Amino acid sequence: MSTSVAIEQTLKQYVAREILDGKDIGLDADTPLLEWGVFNSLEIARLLGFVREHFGVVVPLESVTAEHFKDLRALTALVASLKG
Amino acid sequence: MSNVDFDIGIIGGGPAGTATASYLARAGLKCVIFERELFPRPHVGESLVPAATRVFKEIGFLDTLEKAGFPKKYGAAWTSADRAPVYAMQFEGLSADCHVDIRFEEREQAGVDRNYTFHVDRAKFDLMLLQHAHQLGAEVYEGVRVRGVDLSDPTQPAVHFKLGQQDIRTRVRMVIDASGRHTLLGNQLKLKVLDPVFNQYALHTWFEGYDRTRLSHGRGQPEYIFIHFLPLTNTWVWQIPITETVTSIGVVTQKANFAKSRQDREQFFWECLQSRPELYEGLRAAQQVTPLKEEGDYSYAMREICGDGFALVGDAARFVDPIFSSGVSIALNSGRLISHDILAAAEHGDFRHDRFRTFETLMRRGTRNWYHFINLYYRLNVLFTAFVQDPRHRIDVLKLLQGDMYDEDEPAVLTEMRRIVREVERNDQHIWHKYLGSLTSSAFSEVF
Ligand SMILES: Cc1cc2nc3c(=O)[nH]c(=O)nc-3n(C[C@H](O)[C@H](O)[C@H](O)COP(=O)(O)OP(=O)(O)OC[C@H]3O[C@@H](n4cnc5c(N)ncnc54)[C@H](O)[C@@H]3O)c2cc1C
Repeated sequence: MSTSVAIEQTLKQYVAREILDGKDIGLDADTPLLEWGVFNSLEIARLLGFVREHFGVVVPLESVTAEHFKDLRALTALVASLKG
Repeated sequence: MSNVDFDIGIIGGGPAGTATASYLARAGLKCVIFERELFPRPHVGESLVPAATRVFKEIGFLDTLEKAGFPKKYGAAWTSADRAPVYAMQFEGLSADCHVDIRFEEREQAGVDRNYTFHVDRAKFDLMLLQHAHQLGAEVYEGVRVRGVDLSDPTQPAVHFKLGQQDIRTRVRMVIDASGRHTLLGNQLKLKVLDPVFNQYALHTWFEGYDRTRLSHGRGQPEYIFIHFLPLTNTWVWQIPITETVTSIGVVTQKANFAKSRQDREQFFWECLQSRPELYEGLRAAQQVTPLKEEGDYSYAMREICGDGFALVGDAARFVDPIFSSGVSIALNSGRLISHDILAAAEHGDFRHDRFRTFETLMRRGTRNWYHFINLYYRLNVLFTAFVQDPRHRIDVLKLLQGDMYDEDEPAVLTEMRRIVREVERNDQHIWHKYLGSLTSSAFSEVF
């Protein structure tokens, strides 16, 4: 499994478990998380904490933009790039 | 000293006045407190922060307080429910609330030896403090409203009041204005500047039988203070335990929101609460036991907080906003700081402005930090919550929440918060851009 696939998998599990409370909404890499309001402002803060603990990378708060958080694909790319 | 009636004349018997009187009386100065009301009297400001403990200990009040049976406060929690409507529609039945909390015990605090503080019924609490000051030797006149202070000879100010038809002047060596938001000296000396940014308004009351664990996301915490954000700009609700079964609830909003609504207070209060249905239903199921009370126009500063022969403490010196429940603690600590300077001044028999520089510097620094913290909080709520959840910042934020803000010129955590707020303001693609509160960044300019 490539690193990005693993990252995406982990993020997906987090979102499904912590944010969607286990509900199946057919979440995939392109589900428009922001547009649908899955991420509210506080959830983003919690997600950053998860990313920090799990992947050991700090997402600079200035990178919390729509471009990077619109869906799991974008988020995965961001985390992968920070992991370098 | 023969030509004065007392060393120190204190106007107001709230926490600021009684803390000052306690420190000074126990050190042997002759103090008098003038209080316009007859205690006990109700008062807003029911939840303390741990920085208050230091003062209670130093004035020997902590044991009395411990025995009074007020609910212990171990921490604070914030909840919000700001799902986008699309989400709410598509995924009905998901728990919508978010929850963030802190416990005081996470950080050691100088001068504070316990991991909790208290929520208090101010009628009882203020009376206990007034009696304490009295036991330490301060003279107390209740039901006496001070009309003004004659400072024409600042080495011998005279406090002015009426007893029946009689005009009385009490001569002292120094006057402490602890008159709270009445700001007696601030008005008389025209020192008061209304805050250009904050114009908040609060409606509050007590409920019997409200289930305080309702919005706690399964964590219980019935003895925490809860701050529930409402999905309206700069609007939130406090939930403060008063007894086992009585809870104080207050809605705080921009005054403009209330003015716009054209509703009466009762309607407005309930309509605000309706935006958090769980809270609303919980309160509807409980019983409101006191009439709604309103507070407004409470954000201001003073151009000077001391001068020859006088000093202002507590709300009489400044109030910003109740968001971090710090008012009583600031009032008590301003009493602590001024007393220190007064005792030194008394030794030299000199009560001129220069003697109060330490008080002045520390208070200004503390309130400036405080003011910035509150501003940043209102400008971008979510940043506060993000910082609380970030181990790199959590303890620094907690320090401010505990009420420790006098010892640094500007805590690094505030500088960092401000940097990010600027970035979010600049970048409209930032996810938090739309959460920016309506306060503008000019809010960061100094008031004094
Ligand atoms: C909406 C709201 C919510 C708040 N919530 C909190 C909270 O949760 N926790 C917290 O710590 N703080 C809170 N505060 C702040 C808190 O109420 C004050 O900071 C605190 O009471 C200040 O104490 P003080 O002694 O300076 O003034 P006060 O407690 O107001 O005491 C002043 C006293 O002076 C007397 N007085 C006034 N004029 C005269 C006169 N001319 N002659 C003689 N006596 C006079 C008054 O009768 C009064 O007893 C809140 C404030 C507001 C507006």
